[in-house]
Amino acid sequence: MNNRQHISHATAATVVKPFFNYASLAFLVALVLLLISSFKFPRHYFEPVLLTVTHIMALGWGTMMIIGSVYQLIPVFAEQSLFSEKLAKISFVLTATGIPLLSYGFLKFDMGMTMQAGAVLINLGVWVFFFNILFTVKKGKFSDIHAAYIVYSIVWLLLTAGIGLLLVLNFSLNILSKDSLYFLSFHAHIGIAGWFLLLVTGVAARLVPMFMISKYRNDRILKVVLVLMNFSVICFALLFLMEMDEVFYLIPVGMIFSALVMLARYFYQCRKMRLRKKTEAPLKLSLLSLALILLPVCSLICMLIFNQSPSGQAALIQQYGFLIFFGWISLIILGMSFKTIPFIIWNEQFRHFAGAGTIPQPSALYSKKLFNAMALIYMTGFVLFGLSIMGRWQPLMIFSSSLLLLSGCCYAVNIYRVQYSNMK
Amino acid sequence: MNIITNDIEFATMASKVLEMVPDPETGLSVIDLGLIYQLDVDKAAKMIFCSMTLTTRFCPMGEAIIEAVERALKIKFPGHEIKINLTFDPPWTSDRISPKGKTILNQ
Repeated sequence: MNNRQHISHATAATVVKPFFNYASLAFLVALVLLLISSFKFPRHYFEPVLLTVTHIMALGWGTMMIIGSVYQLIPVFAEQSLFSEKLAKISFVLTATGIPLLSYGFLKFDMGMTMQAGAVLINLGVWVFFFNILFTVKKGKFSDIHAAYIVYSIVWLLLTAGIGLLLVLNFSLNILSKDSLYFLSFHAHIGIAGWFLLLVTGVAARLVPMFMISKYRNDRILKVVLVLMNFSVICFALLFLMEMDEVFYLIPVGMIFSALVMLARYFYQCRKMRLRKKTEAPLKLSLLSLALILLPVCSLICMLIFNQSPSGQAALIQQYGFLIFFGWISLIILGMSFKTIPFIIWNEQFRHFAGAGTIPQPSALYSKKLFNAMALIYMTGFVLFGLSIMGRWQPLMIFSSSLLLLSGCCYAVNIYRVQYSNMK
Repeated sequence: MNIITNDIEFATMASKVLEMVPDPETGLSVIDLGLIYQLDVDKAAKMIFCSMTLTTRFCPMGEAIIEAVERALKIKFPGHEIKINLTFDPPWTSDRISPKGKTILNQ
């Protein structure tokens, strides 16, 4: 039987490219703001500039990049073409408009109409994204464990965005029982563990063995990890809403920690049974980022176990956020971008010449030297900035945030180079 | 890979053409990656039939690889009828990679 008409069609590059370009720009904006803030770094985390940087990193950089990647990958996981490319474009317009409005509100610390409109638009964009993925998976293969990770993670994203909207409205309308600062960790952790962790885990568990050409497959481990992660977020939410003592939070943290240990074993086995011995630099960076998830988890355990002075606690919380958004999430994006975007561009620009002569491979579309420089500068800046948060040493903070910005520029130039590769 | 032909030289030429078609991710040829199951070459009837697979049914590069195989054969053998049959029976496994392909991946 000829199955040619039954293979799914890749999502058009015109649908996903705007997400990637937007994310690259947001990353640069966040790095510029980080550099500016390092000249007078706030003592507390609930400060306009830090809230702005965090939301640009979480929404503009992390979420936009991930939404673009999901639109590209869901046909592979669900064995079905994307339900609607038009809806994907609508979700882009909504979220891309909402993020700057929300961020501007944070920067000016004005929780009025602009910020509220931004939060509403982001919520609408996320709902459109959710339905598009749900309908794709529904007519395809929901039994695929990786597709299940994606759907569950988007449910948590909906909840995170919904809580975010409530917190914004609460500033002016007092609709919640307590002030918005109280609910900040609730909002943040549902987003970090529910949306980012679940999604990155599901996608990485499929892509890493695929890129390594590993024979290892173990859906049972992935199912247990999925259950542990979901229960951990549910448990955290219940403990928070029941206002339980901090020590109880060790239960969901323990669940996440166990899930991560199982995941580490899964990736170790993948690596052990791989056919492709040489690991490419982007994949190495992504694997490093997966290992770096343990840093914020350990930092969280320290915060829960050891009593800190208020200033020490504030620095630890800043450090914790930095490790998540600039460590784990950014590093996986920096690595995976060069494993996915070149393929999307190759499919758009070069596939019609494949078989007709010598054409560059997708991995030849980006500069390896620039990539290595970016990775080295970023890692140096990341370690130094992490140290400077704890030591509150301003010159080091300025120097390291300059390094991070330089590395962000290298990333943007390399991504630009990939996107404008063609046969001419 | 199974070769059915009434002209071994012609079939070897067709096989050599496919050795020049790389998989975009690994760089291995579609032959070394084990994607080609059968090559049915009939010089007299001017017909080439190629039965092939993909590493997964929903490989994002699937369409590009099939088109590349078809294009390469059409360019090398103008005026011939080229038929590509995509099958997933049996499904591809990494055991189908040729010894040469495994050596390249090991490097």
